[in-house]
Amino acid sequence: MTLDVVVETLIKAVIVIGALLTGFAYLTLFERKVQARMQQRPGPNRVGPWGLLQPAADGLKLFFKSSSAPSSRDRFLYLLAPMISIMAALASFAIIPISGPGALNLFGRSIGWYVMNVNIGVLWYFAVTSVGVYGIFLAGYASNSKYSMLGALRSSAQMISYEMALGLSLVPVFILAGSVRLVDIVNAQHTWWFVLPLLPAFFLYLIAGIAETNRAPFDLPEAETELVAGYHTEYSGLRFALFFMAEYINMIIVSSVATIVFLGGWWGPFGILPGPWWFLVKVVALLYIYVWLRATLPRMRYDRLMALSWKSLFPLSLAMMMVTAIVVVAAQGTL
Amino acid sequence: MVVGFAIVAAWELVTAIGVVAFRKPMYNALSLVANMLGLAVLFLMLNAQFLFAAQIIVYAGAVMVLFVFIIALMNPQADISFRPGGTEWIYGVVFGVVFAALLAALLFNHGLTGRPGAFTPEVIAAAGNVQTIGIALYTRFLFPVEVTSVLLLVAAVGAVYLAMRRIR
Repeated sequence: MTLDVVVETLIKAVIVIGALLTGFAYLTLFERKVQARMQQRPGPNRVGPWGLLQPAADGLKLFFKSSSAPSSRDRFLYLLAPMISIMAALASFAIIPISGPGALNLFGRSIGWYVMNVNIGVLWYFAVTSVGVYGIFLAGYASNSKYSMLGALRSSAQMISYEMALGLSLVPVFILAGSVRLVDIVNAQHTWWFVLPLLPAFFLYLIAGIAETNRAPFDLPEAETELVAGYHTEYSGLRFALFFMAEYINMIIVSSVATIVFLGGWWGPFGILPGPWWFLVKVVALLYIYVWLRATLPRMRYDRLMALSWKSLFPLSLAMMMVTAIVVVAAQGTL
Repeated sequence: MVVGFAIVAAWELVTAIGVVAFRKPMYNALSLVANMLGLAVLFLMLNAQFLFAAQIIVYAGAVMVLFVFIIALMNPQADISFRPGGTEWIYGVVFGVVFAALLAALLFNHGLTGRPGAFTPEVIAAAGNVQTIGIALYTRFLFPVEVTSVLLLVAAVGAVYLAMRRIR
């Protein structure tokens, strides 16, 4: 690896992190606005035109809040937990290609539309999210509070259970595309998006993805009526903001992976928009579904949540995988 | 490459010492997690990207999470005051010397980089990393893979049986 490659990757990483943090800020506004519309109220509209500066105001508020922490906390782990969460969230975007199929030509270099194009592709995403579980669990453990601990237990159990369904629901895509490299997967969808032949897998992925990010109707880890705020009960100010960011960035990433893997990534019909815009439109549409579900569905009971994962989603995604494999082999005429 | 290896090796040593030296069980477990992450980075440096991901997903992400769960739930007193007695010292020294001798023998016979195998970086790059290991696992090593999976299935069935008996 030469110096120019390192510099290029660093610059890309900085751009992606900046974009993700801005995306997070405006996703909170988007969520509040859309939910307000669904509930017949105007939503935030005081700061700036149409409330567009609300995220900045929220950020300033969190920045200047005094940070209180429980005195009986585990000092090191209490500091480490939000860092693990945010690092895992930011690092998983590194593999997402936002446009293609060619590369961008700048300063006489051809620059790919991704931070890295690794052979293991989606596996990188799963590896990073499985480390992210530690952020949530250690937050609950280090806070030394019952609400935090219960929230952390629920959250990690939920994330581990749904990661199985999440991973297996993507296997049919790998079978069809013949690769786990995300650029190859998108290129395989040039004529047909995988959402058409693999509609059940797409729904399995969406459901598991919502549970994986601990969002409504699966937001039991932070069920405010019973657990105050779950694993981040004892966090305030900027440290709380890190968990908040991690959750919203994870939403963006789950939507991005769904876009890449099922919705054809940067390919759009009629060639009316350039690649990155198609990618953005699809991600925002999926994020809208997230907000929509939160505004409409009540929270599930915890035992039902676990039963849904292990007794429905997991066997269904296994079945989907086998059916796809059989159909692909039969179509190739080797059966 | 050598500098990178030196950094990761130092990380591995420090975290490995942490596994046995910390006095809080949670920190011991987390040192082991850090150690496994370092091991994953070593795999990555050896051009084994798939093993890197599998190491993190399976060991750091699944197995160690269970350890951490159990420690957090079962451990009300935070510190262990454990003083090894005389016989434990003797066992420790004997096993330490034997293991060090084994490692030294390996090092002198094969060197730090080991022997070159059939899967050179060029071969792996041509077929793809995931593809290479997948083909090896499901053609040449199909029988061991299946036997191992049956072994794991037995463990799962046993766990379900134990849980069911308690409910009844």
